Amino acid sequence: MIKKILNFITGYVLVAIHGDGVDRFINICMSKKLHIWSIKKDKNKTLLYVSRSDFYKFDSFVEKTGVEISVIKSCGIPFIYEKNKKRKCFVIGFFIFLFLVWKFTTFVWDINISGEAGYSAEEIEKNIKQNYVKIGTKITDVNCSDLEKILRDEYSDIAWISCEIKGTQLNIKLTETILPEDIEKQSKPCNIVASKDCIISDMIIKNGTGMFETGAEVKKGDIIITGVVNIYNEYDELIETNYVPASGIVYGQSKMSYEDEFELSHYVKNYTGKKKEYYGIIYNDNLFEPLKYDMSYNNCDIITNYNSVRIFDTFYLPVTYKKTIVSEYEPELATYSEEEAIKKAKNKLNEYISALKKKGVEILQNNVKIYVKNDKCISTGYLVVKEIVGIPFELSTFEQGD
Amino acid sequence: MTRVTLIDQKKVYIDGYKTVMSIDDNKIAIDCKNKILEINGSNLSILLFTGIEMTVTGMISSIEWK
Repeated sequence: MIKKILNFITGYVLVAIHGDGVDRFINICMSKKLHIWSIKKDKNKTLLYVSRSDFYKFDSFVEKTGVEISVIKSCGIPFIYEKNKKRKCFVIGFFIFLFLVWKFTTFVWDINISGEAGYSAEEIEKNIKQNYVKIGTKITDVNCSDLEKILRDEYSDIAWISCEIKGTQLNIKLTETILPEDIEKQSKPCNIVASKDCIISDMIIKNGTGMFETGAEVKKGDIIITGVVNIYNEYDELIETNYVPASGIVYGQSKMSYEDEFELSHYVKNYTGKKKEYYGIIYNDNLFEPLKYDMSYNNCDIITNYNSVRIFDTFYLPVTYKKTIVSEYEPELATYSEEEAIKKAKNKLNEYISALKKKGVEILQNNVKIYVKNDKCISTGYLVVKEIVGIPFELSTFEQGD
Repeated sequence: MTRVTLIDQKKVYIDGYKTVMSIDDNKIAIDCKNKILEINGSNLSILLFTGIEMTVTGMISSIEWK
């Protein structure tokens, strides 16, 4: 392999030799220690490879042995250079291109965030771009371990985070804590109060005194864990009252009403097949779009895609490619069948439930009824949910002094 | 002294040759000072050589001293 690379760098020629003195010619080459290889007979001619420098020594042997030589192909960098000598601009442009590509590899052009759940990737990305790693920062200026530390401090719910630079992309992988949301630690004396009317289903007290038992019904604003801690002696006499920041996790069970309705008649988009495509390039927040949109369609969908220009998977360039497709459609009035309507309503309800689950709400019962009445699909009922209901509420001076 | 090393049926190393007498697709004859070494087979070629060593490749069927 190394030999092949060296041969390519120095250049080599595949030649065909004809005539009676071929064997003599080869023996002379051998005795003169010329660099020839892969000697092979092909019909009436002999093929061999010779290095570029030794090829020019052939002339004297050709006369001696009376053979004819024809060049079949010439390979290697010196020959490529010879061929492209006249195309100076092309060669210079090619090297400038190589230089720019190499130069661009030394900057961060894209940030990719994965593994987020509670936080949005856009939110984290925006924060990083504004405060820590701007797009176009030199890769050598990015300290991944420092960035990990900063992000871990800033986003308290991050359990694990890893930052690495692949190509020109800053990859951030994170895992958020899956433990139930802890109540923010308070430094001042406070109570834990109910955020809504509910039945207490579970309670973990870390600090303070519990005012209700599990299963008790509480109203919004009721103190569940108090920060007023009374200390009694053995004769049940109050000897001291301490005011502490109450803390703990209180789960409450409550009913959450769900109402939704939509008309059975609706418009469907019938695409006519007519569409127009527009292209643009964004560099350094400047958009270059040669064509303006033609808005001659009465009804149309405009879909725009932005793609970062990249070479391979992770080598991003500071150029974004914009593609806009304007598709014409004719609106047509349609009506959902009862089955279709119920299916759609169920899907909407499932989406609503999924969103609640993402927030950490547990669904205990689903009592939502879906039916069709007066050309409308109606979903009505309630969900029995279990969620964190205890929130800190600062102790008033009256309570403290009382 | 000439040393001939055969690897499978694909490669022959000849150490201590003098000249190449003939090259053909089916036969390569090499002058090894006192004797002639004939390599028979198909698709034969001289892969490379130095001043004293030579490598012949191809599908080798027989090697004969003549």
